[in-house]
Amino acid sequence: MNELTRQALLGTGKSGPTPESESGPVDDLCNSIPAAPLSTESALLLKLGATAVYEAAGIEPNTVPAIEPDHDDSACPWSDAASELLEQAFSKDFVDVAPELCRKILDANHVLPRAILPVALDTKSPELRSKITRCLGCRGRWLAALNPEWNWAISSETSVNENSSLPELKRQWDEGTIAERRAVLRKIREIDPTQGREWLEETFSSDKANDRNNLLQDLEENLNADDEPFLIQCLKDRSKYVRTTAIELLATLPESEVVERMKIRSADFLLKTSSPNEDFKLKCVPPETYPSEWETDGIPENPTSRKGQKSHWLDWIISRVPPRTWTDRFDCTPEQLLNGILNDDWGPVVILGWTRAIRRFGLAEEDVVLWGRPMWTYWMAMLQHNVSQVRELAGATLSDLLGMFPEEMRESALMKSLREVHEPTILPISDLLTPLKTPWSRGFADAFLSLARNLLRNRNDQKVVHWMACLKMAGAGIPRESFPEAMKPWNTHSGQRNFWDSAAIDKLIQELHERVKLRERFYRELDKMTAAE
Amino acid sequence: MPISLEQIATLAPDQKSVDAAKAIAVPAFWQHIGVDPSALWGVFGRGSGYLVKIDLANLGSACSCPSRKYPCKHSLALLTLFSQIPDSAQIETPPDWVSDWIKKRQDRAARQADTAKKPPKPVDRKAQAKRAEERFQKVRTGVEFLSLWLDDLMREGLAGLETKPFSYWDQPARRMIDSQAKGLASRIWNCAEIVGNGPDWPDRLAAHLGRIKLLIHAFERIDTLSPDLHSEVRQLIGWSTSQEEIDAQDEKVHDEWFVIGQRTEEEERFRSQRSWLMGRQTRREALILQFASARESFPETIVPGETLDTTLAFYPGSLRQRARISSLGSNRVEEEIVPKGHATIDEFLTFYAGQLALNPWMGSCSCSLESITLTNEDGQWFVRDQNSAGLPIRTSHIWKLLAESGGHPFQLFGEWNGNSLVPLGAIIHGKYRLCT
Repeated sequence: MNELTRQALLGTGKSGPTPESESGPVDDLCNSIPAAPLSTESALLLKLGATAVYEAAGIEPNTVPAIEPDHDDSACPWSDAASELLEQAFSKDFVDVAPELCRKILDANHVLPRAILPVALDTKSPELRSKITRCLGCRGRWLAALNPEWNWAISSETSVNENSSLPELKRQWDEGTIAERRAVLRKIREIDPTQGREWLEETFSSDKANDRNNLLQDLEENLNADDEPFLIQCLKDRSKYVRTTAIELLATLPESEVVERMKIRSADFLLKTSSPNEDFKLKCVPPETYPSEWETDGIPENPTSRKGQKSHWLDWIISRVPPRTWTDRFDCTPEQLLNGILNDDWGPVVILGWTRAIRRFGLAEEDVVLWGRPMWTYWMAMLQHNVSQVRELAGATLSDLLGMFPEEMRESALMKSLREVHEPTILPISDLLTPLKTPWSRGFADAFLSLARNLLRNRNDQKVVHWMACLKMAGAGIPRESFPEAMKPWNTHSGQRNFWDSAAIDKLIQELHERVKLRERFYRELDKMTAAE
Repeated sequence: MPISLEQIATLAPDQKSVDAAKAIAVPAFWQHIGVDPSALWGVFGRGSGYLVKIDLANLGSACSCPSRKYPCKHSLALLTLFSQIPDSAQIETPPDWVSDWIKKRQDRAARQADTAKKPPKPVDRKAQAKRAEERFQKVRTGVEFLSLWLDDLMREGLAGLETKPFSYWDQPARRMIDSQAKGLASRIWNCAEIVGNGPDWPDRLAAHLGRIKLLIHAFERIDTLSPDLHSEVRQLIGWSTSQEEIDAQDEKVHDEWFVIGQRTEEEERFRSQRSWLMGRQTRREALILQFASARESFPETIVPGETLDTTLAFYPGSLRQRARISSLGSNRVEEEIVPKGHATIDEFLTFYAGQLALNPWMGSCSCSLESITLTNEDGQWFVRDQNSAGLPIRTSHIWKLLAESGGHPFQLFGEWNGNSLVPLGAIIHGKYRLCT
């Protein structure tokens, strides 16, 4: 702060008259202002004004270092229109369309337009981020390296790339940040799982609890029986979270000791009660007490959610037994298993445990139909249960099951159910559309649009309005060939609905149309660019 | 130069209109779209539809829809559609409803040009001089009050001003409004924004108050000032410049004016628009200020990144910076013409110092830097020239500029306020990019 400002802050009443300036151009300028008829305050103000102008006129630039430029200085091949469409797709309202557009860009061997890179890099959705990282291009990676908030886009690439040698990986493992070390671990587990585990074992005890947990989670890549001793060792870790992760990983190893113990425990719970000539029937006998040795396998004594202890133990143990154990043990089909336990008091808990086990262990190709079909039928029936929580669970489970089906089966399974179910609105359609690969097949898209149009034409109840919320997803899912069908006028029977329902449906149809239009325009721009090449 | 969506957005009265226009900028919504060198037209919707027409000479528009907004969403949509899919319009002879409209516009422009040429009505010089004298005395009284108020302020000192309510500044500012010195009023209101804003606010406030005092000092000696500085001080105090004064100035410059940038600010009940233009041949800068009520568009359509082949009439003053479009119906130039900017930051700062010498109260001036890159030091962004000289830059578009330039040199246009550069536009790989 200079002397004049100091005096202005204090006030001339306290600091006295303005001191005569000494020398220099601004001082000469100040001194040339006639002071005689002026008050002390006016003289000070004039000097402040003259100094301000002098300083502004004499401002000198800073000397600043340059940023290393991106090596590619060619013009961006995208049109402005395409950039603007993509920017719209990355906005909050249309973000569901963005992954599909990114996929299209990748398929066409292009990268994102430069103008939208900041918007793309600001995205928070993990699913979209994984797509973005693949179509960032050199410019995107160069830009991401300049902003620490965008490190997610390059962290895996900067630390590990396809050509990294083993010594280089080891160096990065020893010297890198936790994010880089995680990337190295994932990479080395792909190449040599044993080496990766050995590196982790070397440093594990010296890492922080949170880092230990994160690194242990990365061991999931190529997890195998050789990892079991290390995971068992982790069961004694001082961090509860590390122990839980170790248990979860052990439970996914079908041959691990933990799973074997779970199999033995579960054998006591389910008993076959039918004679050879009768229909297959099972009885469930849940444990009465909590044996102390369960604690070592991480089985919690008390449930965290609102359910009984026995039901919690049953669910916990059965969900950690590979589903095939049961068909092998009772020499029956999954359908027989389900039918056999259906009428037992504990039947729903057992079936839920089996469902969770399917989710945990996945289904072998040959088991998809064997297990998937009866499970699907059971949970479809549960959609009509009179308890809303069961209906919600059924919806989520069906969505999970659909996700486990091979991609080519998903659409047909869903469409079959949509056609067979007497009341399509009971299906949580938005959840069930999520696992479908986008864009949908034309057959599925046309059938879906036809069903939606029928529902709108023939029904005017509120359930239809709720069901139609999936139109937004349809806008992101239907393929280009079905765009004309989607854009045809919709007969909404607005006269027979109340005002609010009509408005809601109009809005949903508008959302569908907006997505279709955006995608159509973008495809056209992409076609133009591809043709120009 | 093809018009971009960003540029179309600058024509719209509000963001809602832009969004609504985007939604209907689809060929399916339009019965027919036609274009010829003078106009673009289309029929929107079914049946007789809305008749939408756009004058391509100056992007003026008309639509038969009942919307009170101007331009309406249909006009904006037609422009949007044409900019995105030029093939959607058929090149043909315009129908009568378009050609008649274009002819009327051209006739009106010609009439207005004629009117401008006609000698003004005789005025009562005596009454005019009396009114001017009354106004001058009113302003003088106000300025005397402000001078005393500033003296009191300096006697008390600036310390402790953070605790003063807004009314502390508002009261003298309103007194300046009553004295018809609105320029001084807005400078006093600015003080309220400086106080407590940042750790260096005492320095900035002291400098600001000092410049107000310099202005008062100049006004007190206005009769001794050169004619240019005399006009400048009058405008800064709050006198508006009449058409007659601009004509008397008789400084009309014809050139191909490139719109280097534009800034629109929303006030309580109106919007103000600052458009910076640069002449291709003259390399002269011009500032066009326009005002409009919240729902209406500005009188002249000025689109950043375009070149206008027109004549500008400059306001009197020492800077000769502010101007108005003199010839109505100015033509947009299709060819891309970008005037050269300052080669280095030093060259620009020398130019800025020269401008300050002419007008020490200058708020901001346009800045066109020929070949700069962006760089960051200690979290602060700078523009950097080939000599490693840097000026601080303040924008929310920094990452976009960086993404598009890739750290390579480009031409940047902006406003320099003495402390930081606010980018308004840039030319990257030959394309104009808006930065606002």
